[in-house]
Amino acid sequence: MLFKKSLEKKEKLKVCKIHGSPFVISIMIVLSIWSLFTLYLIFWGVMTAFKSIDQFMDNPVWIVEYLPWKWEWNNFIYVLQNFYVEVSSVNGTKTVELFELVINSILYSVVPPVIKMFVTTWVAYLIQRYDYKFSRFLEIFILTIMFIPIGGGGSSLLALLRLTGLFDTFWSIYLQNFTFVWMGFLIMIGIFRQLPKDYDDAARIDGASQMRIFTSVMLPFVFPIMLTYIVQGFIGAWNDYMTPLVYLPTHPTVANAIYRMSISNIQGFSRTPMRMMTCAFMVIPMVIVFLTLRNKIMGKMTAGGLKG
Amino acid sequence: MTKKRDIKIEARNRLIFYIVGMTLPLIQFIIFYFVVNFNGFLIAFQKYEIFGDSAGKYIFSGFDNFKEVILDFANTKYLRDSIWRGLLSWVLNQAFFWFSIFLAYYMGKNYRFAKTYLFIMMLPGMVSSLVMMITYKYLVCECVPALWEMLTGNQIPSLLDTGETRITLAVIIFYYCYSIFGSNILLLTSVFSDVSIDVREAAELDGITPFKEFWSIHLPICWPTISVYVIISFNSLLSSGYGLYPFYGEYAPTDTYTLAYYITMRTQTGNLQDYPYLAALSHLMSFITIPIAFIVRHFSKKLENKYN
Repeated sequence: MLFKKSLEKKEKLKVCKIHGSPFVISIMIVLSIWSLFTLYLIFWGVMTAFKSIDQFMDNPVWIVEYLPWKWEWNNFIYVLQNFYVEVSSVNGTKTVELFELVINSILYSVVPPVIKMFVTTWVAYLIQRYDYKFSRFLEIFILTIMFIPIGGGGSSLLALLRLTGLFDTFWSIYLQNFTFVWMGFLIMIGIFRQLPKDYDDAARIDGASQMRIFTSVMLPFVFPIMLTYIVQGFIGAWNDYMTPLVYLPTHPTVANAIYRMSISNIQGFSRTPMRMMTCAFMVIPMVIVFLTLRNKIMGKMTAGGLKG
Repeated sequence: MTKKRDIKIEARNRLIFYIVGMTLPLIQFIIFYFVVNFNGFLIAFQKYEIFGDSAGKYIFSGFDNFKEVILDFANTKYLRDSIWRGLLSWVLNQAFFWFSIFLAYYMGKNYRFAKTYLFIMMLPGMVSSLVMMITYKYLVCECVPALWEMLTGNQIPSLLDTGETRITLAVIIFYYCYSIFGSNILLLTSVFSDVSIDVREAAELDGITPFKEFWSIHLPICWPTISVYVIISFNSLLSSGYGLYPFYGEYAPTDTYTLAYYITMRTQTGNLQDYPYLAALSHLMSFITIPIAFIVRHFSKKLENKYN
């Protein structure tokens, strides 16, 4: 008993010693400063979004002095009813309202990650499970080109899309995402390599067709990982303002419209609280997705593959 | 005899399934990778005719675009400086990547508040980098001057409108450093978490310090994964930027330009006749970065072998 207690004491001392090392403490200090700044930034944004113009002018730094604190929900209603963005094209200027912005965002952020992930999984499966020379060649080739930066592609792609009439359509985005050449391909290749071939053989002996083996045997194994990537892709696309700016100039998404708002003056949205509320509007779907799928987003990624 | 025939039929079915399955992804790959990049290569040697018989077509123009790019950079100070500013942002990015490795070690070892820090680090990604940037922009434009006035009684202008490039750059670079702090932290944390517990425990029993443990055990084990990121990062040696576009759109002051910003801005505002110039510029950048990426890859492999 005494021995156990002294062992526990020693263990505690060792933990304190490690936790108290200058190396660990210095990292902790930096992390704390960064975290406090992040929390203040978010806190300031939320507080400002729910302030009236007068309250904001009165105290832009912190919460207003006089209590009770009055949340300015009218800002939210105002954004819902009045947010719009104007886009110019050769056909003139067009006003895009919030409803259309949300639809564009959904079309832009839901479909492409799904397409990309399914194509990637499909090709990775074929390359790993169908042991032809071409599969080996393609795997090595893709690995090689990923390390080589090739310039000029952006300009050429834009020229191609303009000449084919696909520019400024969602089809151009979907076609670009019908690809397997990205980092997720390496991960999927690794996963299919790890899965025992006995599963395919057993299914084949039971008379399953080639397609059935993929859909009923292999897909269920990798589906949780695919879902993780799709969710991450959705978050990335929902927040992406740059790609729609270049490829979809007259179909702005919510992120794109907020970006346009931040660098210009849209009537009724030139004051900071209103701009912050518009930003808050964009964040709401992300908060819901993050809180619902937190473990999927944070827990699945590892370097060599994915935890099942 | 029948068995042999069955095997043949099975092999033929597999091959047909493989060919059919690979066709569409390969067509996409050929068009959006080969054709686009090859066209991107060709377009750099062409110019877009506006007048004359070839109006509306690209015609061969030799090395004119390359000459134009080189002359522009030789004669324009802000373009020359944009290269150095781009390199500065790349160096900062590298420095923060290496710092992320320390942070990931902290998280992977689950030191004090590791989970809380990790959660806070996820927040900017969840809230959206655009929203964080806009919030920061208004914080420095509205909140900081108000805070300064509260503390000192003196009024100062918005930190982005002081008219002094040094202050403007400092404000933007500060945000850049803030935003890349902890980049790749999730992935790196997973790498460090995967280091065998037996190895860690053996080292701890021998009384190893946290820094020594990091340097002698974790880093060598995780080097293959880390090296991939280091090599890939060299691809963006010249195309790195500190995020001017979200702050200013197309109207950033010329003395804050980076090469990445210049290309983005020209692509965004340009049309068919601007693409050859941009393609030539991108090729010149690739011409410099590709050999560097290969040299780094070579040395990284050497280092990996040494660790092994």
